[in-house]
Amino acid sequence: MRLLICAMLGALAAAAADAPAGTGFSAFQKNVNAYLKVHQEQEKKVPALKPGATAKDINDHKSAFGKALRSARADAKQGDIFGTSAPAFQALLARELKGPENSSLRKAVKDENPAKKLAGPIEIHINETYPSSLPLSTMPPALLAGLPRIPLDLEYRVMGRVLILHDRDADMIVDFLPEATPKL
Amino acid sequence: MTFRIASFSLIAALLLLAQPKPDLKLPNEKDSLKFAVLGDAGTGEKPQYQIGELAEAYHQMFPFTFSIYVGDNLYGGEAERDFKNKFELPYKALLDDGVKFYAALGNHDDPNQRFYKNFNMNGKRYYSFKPKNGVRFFALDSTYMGPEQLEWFEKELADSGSDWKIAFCHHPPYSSGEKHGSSLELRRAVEPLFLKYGVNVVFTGHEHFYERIKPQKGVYYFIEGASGKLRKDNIAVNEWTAKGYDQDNTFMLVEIAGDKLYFQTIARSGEIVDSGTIERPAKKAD
Repeated sequence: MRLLICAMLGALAAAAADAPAGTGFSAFQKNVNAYLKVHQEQEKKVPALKPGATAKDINDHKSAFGKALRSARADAKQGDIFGTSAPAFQALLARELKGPENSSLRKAVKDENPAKKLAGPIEIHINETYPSSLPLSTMPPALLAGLPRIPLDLEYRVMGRVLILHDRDADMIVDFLPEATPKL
Repeated sequence: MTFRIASFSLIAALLLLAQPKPDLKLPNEKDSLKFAVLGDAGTGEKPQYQIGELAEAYHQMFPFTFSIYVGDNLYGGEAERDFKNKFELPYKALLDDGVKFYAALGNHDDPNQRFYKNFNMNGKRYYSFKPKNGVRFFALDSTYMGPEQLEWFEKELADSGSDWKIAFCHHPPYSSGEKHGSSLELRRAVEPLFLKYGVNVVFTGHEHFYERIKPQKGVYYFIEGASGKLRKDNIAVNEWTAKGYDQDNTFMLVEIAGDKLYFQTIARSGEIVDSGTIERPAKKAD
């Protein structure tokens, strides 16, 4: 019986290999894997973008891939991916960004934070294209190292205090977590 | 008729005078590696075009084969017209002459630029290339430097032997800029690798001016972020500034011959705002 329990615990640990153990990110990782499946399925439906592409190729691909993803995720809503892991993200970001000892991390996240470029409040919508007029926030190495690892097709970015998940190739916001960071 | 011919000649002469004459300070050796550095360029506005024209004028006498492009390659959009007006047209003469651009991503850049034929990123956000035996370049994505990139970078550095090691990325580990300043978090991540594996020179942008930093633990840093954008009076000179210039747009020309790297920074007016030589330590005998 003891051997069986040990084996099960080992299997669970292996399944959640990308989620820091015991930190509440398992739901998030599960949702990311589910999103990745949709991403890969839709990606197969559009001609692949290859090195050597023209500007037209790039724009056509983003448009087609974005359209396919939006269609496949027509019912997607905020929180579908962050899910019940939202408090874990908020706790992690509070630990990483609060306090005088973290001032340089805060500065890095604030630098060219796209919220600064907006005249009014941030408005983010699921499945929308990342606004081309806004810069992407810079994600410092130490912060990325502490966040749950995600596939390279997805990126974490910050807009104001909102943590977004950005589909890199479709240039699309696939989920977001409001008030994710402490006040910067 | 004579008056018209005289008038046209006068106008042509004035136009010729208006374009700065190249004043090359580099040795221009036959077999050296020659390249340009441009950064924060993608505005599509007149200064970018003027820098492009000046770079082409220098190219006629100093035939650099490529330029590194340190990010913020396109501002304000990524539609076809943005690529055309903010890159293909300003540098048309250079591109027609076969000059390649190797780009790094800036915070204003869509990561899909990595597929763009003229940025030679081969579909990668970070990559390395070796334009000549003995010289290796590492293009980094400083906007998103996750553990995977750092692992890749360390492996590439470890495999690069005794080559000149030149890294470039958008954010500056060292900067005297009042707007942004040093990217301390980036420095913490990459400087140990620079030191461990002997990176010689780092080119960056992000600040909209030119700055040469005094060698930091043996590594030379340059900021060339004024090839389209410009933020005047933004340098707060401090103990690590070797040379700063924030009054006009600029670009750099660089030449590597043996253990020496020669550089020259040229303003849009034609003024040579900086030049010099970096000598790397001689290779130890085996």
